[in-house]
Amino acid sequence: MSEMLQLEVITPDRQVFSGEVTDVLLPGIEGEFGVLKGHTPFLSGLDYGLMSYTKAEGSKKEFFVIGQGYAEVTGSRVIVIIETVLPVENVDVANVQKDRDSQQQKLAKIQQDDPEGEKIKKEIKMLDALLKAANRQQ
Amino acid sequence: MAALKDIKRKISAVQKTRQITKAMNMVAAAKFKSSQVRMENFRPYAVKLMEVINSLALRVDMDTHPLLAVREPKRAKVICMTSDRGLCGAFNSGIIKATEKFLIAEKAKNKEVALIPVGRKGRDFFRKKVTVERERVDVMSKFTMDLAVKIGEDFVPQFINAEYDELYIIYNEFRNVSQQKPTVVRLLPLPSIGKEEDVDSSQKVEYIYEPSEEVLLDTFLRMYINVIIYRALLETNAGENGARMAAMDNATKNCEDLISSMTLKFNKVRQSAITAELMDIVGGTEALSKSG
Repeated sequence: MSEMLQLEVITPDRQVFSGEVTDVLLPGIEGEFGVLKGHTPFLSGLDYGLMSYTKAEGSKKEFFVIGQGYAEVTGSRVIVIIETVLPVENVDVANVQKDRDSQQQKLAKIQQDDPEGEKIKKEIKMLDALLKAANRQQ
Repeated sequence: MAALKDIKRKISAVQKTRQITKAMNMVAAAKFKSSQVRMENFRPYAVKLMEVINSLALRVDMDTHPLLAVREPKRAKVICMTSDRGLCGAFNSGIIKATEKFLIAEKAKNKEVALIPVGRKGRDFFRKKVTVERERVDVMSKFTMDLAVKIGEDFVPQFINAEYDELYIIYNEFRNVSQQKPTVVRLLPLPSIGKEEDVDSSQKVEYIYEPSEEVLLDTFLRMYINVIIYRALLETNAGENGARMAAMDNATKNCEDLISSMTLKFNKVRQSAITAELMDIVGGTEALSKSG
């Protein structure tokens, strides 16, 4: 058990995950990074992308697409604070693509300085990351 | 007989009112439950963010950060959070009273004060009385973290540019369903964070930062402000629904009292009408039998 990391994944809406994992992979602002127990203390911004972790040696990796946020890594603990999270599981690529296209159209319609624009852009980035993740898994 | 009809009409009117208040009570209860769940789900986020900021504050000199800059307080801004809709007891009036008191106290210190209402009730009350800025109404029924971020973005850059010196937030702290406490919190300049004396030296290890620690500190402090605003929004939301629940429960009870007292009166009036009629008949037959 000494090889285990304490991982906590939190968004404003809920605590997504809290428990022990063997490794974590995170999309840092300056590139993807993996964390194992004993990692140097580390504080990094996170960008839209794919997060994954393994709950126990030999078990399947679990994938999530995350929004912007931060990760604090200490020797035995990782705290991931992010805006949004989507599980990557049985992704219907065609459907996601359709969602993305409709968001893109919405974005084209609204005014440049509409506050809704930011939200839609974020949504698109999430869907992009989700598509990328889905394609990678196949 | 006219009195009887009147009472009957009144009773049925109150019965209808009771139906409405009962329905509102149930709606408020459902909303209250969901806002309470949201509040509870948000707590770990706030706690963890504070943990990260605290541990960052130990290692980075944050006193020079512009969000902590203490200037001579001349211009203050006050965010006043109320609900959008009424019928929730003393929920809004409590906040409005507290805000008024606060404004008077601040003005007595020769400060220029501007009010930022969030929620319709506060806006409507203060609109004609004080300077109102960047109001946000009709937001309480449905909001996300985005709203807090936007409110923060409205006022943080102004503070950094030294356009004003202090930012306060007044909201109803949620205690329980029937109890909310108006609370004043100073948001800016931020109080120093993580200045405990006996810090475990093992925590003072060197960290790697991506991007630089200054950038991270800056974003974290902004996030911290957003978190406080968001929490205030959540507590206002939960408090509003809780207060409405309690108020409507009271109203339903009052309706029931009224109905039972009016029913009693109705029965009495009806009985006395019957008695009077009987007296008439008895009086009439007696008169007849005497004359016969």
